[in-house]
Amino acid sequence: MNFQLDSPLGAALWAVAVAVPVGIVLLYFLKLRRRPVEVPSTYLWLRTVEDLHVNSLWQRLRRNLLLFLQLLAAGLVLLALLGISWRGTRLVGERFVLLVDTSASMSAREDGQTRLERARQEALAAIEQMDPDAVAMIVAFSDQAQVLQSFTDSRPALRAALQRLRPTARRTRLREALLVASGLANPGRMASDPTDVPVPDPLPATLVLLSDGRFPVPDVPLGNLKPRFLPIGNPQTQNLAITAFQVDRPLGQTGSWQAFAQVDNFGSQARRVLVELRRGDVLLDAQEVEVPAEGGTSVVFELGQMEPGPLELRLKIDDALALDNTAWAVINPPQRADVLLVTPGNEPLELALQTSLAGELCNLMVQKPEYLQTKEYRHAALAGTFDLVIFDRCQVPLDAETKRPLLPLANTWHLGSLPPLPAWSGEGGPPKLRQQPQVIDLASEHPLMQLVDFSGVDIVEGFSVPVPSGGHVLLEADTGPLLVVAPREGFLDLVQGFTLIDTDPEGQTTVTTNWPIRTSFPVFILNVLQVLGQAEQMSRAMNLLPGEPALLRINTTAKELAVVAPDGKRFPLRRRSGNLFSFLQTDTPGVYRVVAGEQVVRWFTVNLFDRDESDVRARHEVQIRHQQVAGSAVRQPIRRPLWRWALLVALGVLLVEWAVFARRVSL
Amino acid sequence: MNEQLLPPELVARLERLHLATRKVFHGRFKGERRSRRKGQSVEFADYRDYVPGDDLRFIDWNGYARLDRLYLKLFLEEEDIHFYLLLDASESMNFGQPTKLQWAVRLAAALGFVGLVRGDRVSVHVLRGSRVEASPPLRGRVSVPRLVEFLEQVAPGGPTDLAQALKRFALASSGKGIVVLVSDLLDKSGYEDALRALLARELDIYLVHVLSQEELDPELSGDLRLIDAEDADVAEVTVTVGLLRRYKQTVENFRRGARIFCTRRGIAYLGVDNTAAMEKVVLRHLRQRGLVQ
Repeated sequence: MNFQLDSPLGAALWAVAVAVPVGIVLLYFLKLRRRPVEVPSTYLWLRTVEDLHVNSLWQRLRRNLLLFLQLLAAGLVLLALLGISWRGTRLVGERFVLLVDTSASMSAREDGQTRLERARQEALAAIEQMDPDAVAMIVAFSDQAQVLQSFTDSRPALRAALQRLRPTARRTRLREALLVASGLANPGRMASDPTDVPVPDPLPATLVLLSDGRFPVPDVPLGNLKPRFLPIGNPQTQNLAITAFQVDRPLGQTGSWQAFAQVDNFGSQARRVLVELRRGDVLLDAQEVEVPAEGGTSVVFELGQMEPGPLELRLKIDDALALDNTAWAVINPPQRADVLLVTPGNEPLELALQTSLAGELCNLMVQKPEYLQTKEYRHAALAGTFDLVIFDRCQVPLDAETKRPLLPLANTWHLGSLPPLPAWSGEGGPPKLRQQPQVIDLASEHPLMQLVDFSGVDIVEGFSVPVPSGGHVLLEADTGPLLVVAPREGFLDLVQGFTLIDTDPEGQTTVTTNWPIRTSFPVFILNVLQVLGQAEQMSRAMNLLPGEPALLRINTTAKELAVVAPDGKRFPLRRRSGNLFSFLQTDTPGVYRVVAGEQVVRWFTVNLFDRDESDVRARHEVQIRHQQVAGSAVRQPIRRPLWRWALLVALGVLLVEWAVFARRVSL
Repeated sequence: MNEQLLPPELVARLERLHLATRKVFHGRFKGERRSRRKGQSVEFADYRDYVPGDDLRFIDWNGYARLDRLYLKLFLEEEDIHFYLLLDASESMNFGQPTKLQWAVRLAAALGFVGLVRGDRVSVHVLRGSRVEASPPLRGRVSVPRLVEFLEQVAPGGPTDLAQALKRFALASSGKGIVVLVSDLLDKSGYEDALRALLARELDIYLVHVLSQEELDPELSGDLRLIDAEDADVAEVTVTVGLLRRYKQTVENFRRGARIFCTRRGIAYLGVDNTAAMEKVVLRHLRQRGLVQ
């Protein structure tokens, strides 16, 4: 701590000032004129004060206490006049938004404490050094933002908010937190029409980001926000992580199971690690694998016949982040997808849906288009009875009561028609058929198109499928998209812009593509059953990322279902509609059990499979939109004047002096 | 007779009293005072067995006739006694309203009156510094005016040197008798040696320790320069509530110390202040201590 002097007084005034304490001493000796009083004898008085004079030094001090107090007060005033100050640090600004990262990577331990604890300490230190009239708000963020404390200048409230910070296992997405902060700093953005909506003044603020910097670049304009990045964590911290783990049956083998895992090394040195596969307390298998630096390795366990139940994969290592050293997968009781095929007749499709492998995955129900007008369909559609409904060359009917399209609460596959929803209407009017569209691109990375090879496939005619918001083009032709998948309130709608066969008004069937006789067709059908029919999840169990909502379709007659979280907490399961249930409390990684009473009806898992979170090497520079923000000390050096304190103490000393004088403590 | 020194109503009460002593003394002359000594008077006291050498005049012959045994009749001896009144007349006694010395003179007058009317020899000794100014020995009721006259002449002055003064008194006096010392004991060299000087003689000693109200409960405050009235000694004090509390404790300790010192040595101690009523002091306190009966 460096002291600095900056006195406002000149030499002459200082001479006067120094003369004050000297004057006090002189006056003290001059002032004490005692009143003479004649007494019969001083004998008793001398005996009274005799013991007070035993310690003469102390007695002198006591007798001169007033003098000392006056000199002390004068000294403190002189100290204040010296303009003494010390160099300290301070948060420069009037308005701060503290964004504290609580994502999974902030649970990494370094130097005996987690990054979140360190961030809390830094934030507390920052709050202590704010100007007295400065305000701050605290936002905790992972893949969602939570305002722990809105703008306030109350230090206790801010400290209490920081104590409420809890680590999560979620991913890091800065976007939401930035939107919260910039909404306050740039209020004009919130008003749609500035002419009739009163727009509050913008409140420029300093954005203090406390994070390890492991997040995708957010595309949010900062506007009046002035970003400052306080990096938390060490750029050299190494970590091993399980980034994938699932159980599956090898293709063509119906009985045996395999477990696949990916172990990645986020460090500069290759490491050997023991990977254990457990089922409850029973060790099923273990392998020691070498994980290369900056790389990964896959691990395969042959499991043979397996009963339904959860499996746990563990890395026997003590590294920075423990969250990603364990992963879970579940073999659920076998359950087939319920598939409804509505078609005037489509032999190739029906055949593909009835192969032995497809038969294992689904229960197929084939209906004519007239079925869509029945109450039975309406009931089934609204109750979510089916996992997948295939509309082959037939339109989704309108609900007689609501006059709205009666789309089922299920995934759908539309062949040769569009869902009657505005999102799919495109430019308006019926889609125009184009002759012989040529396939030019295929989204092979999409689960629906895995192992699907479109070479040699000819299509007689097809229409260009509009792409709704959030949709993916799976098959692109020179005429436009031919196969598009898009979300609809938690479901997926797959629209195919061409038919497999066509029937003319006379009832003659003509083949419109040679796809059904290519091997890629049954592969695609299996992909559809697994992804849209959720047949895959039926056996392998659904895996979610922490915090991701779970949408479960459970055919059950049980009135009440509950989910038991990995930590044993029990949550009632909310029935969304029909057989659909949603569950939101998926913050803890582990195995979740859906129970009816005490009987387990379904498992699902939550795993931190996120390379960004597992790579705990902290960044010291982050990018927000187009702006690079380098890590820096948030606090700036300033001079803290001490003269106020000196004056305050001098005032206190004067009060004590007055009290002493009033009580005549000195004897 | 000075009515201020001896008010008539006090005199009326005093006339019924006489001096008593807790010790057996031989008086020089027969007095009106009954002695604890058995002797020749008309007042029968007791019988005892005759032993050879006893005065045959006191044998109870009637008893011998009835019992055929010789018994001696004992009579109470009536004798006089020397009564010394010692007054501390140092400057410190000149404080209070009335002054301690005035109060002491009144007490001396009252006690002296009791002694004179009962035929005891009374002498007043005024202690001033190391000097002792004594009145001639007085005896009989006729000497009361002389006693009063002497007491009226007593004036304060000089320092206190009780030890020296009492030593002189002890050497000069024949010794036996009753001594009543009226003093404030404010002697910076201490009162202990002074009282020990009296103890050397076979005296029945009474100490009347008189302090003024101004000394017991001083109404002082502030920064003071206390000047000793006797030796001009100076004590600088800042009188506070705390110091006053301490001073009163010192006074109390001073009085208690004197009382303990006296009690241990057979000296009757009476602590009074200058406003104490004379009747109460003589008729109650001194009677309780056995000086008057």
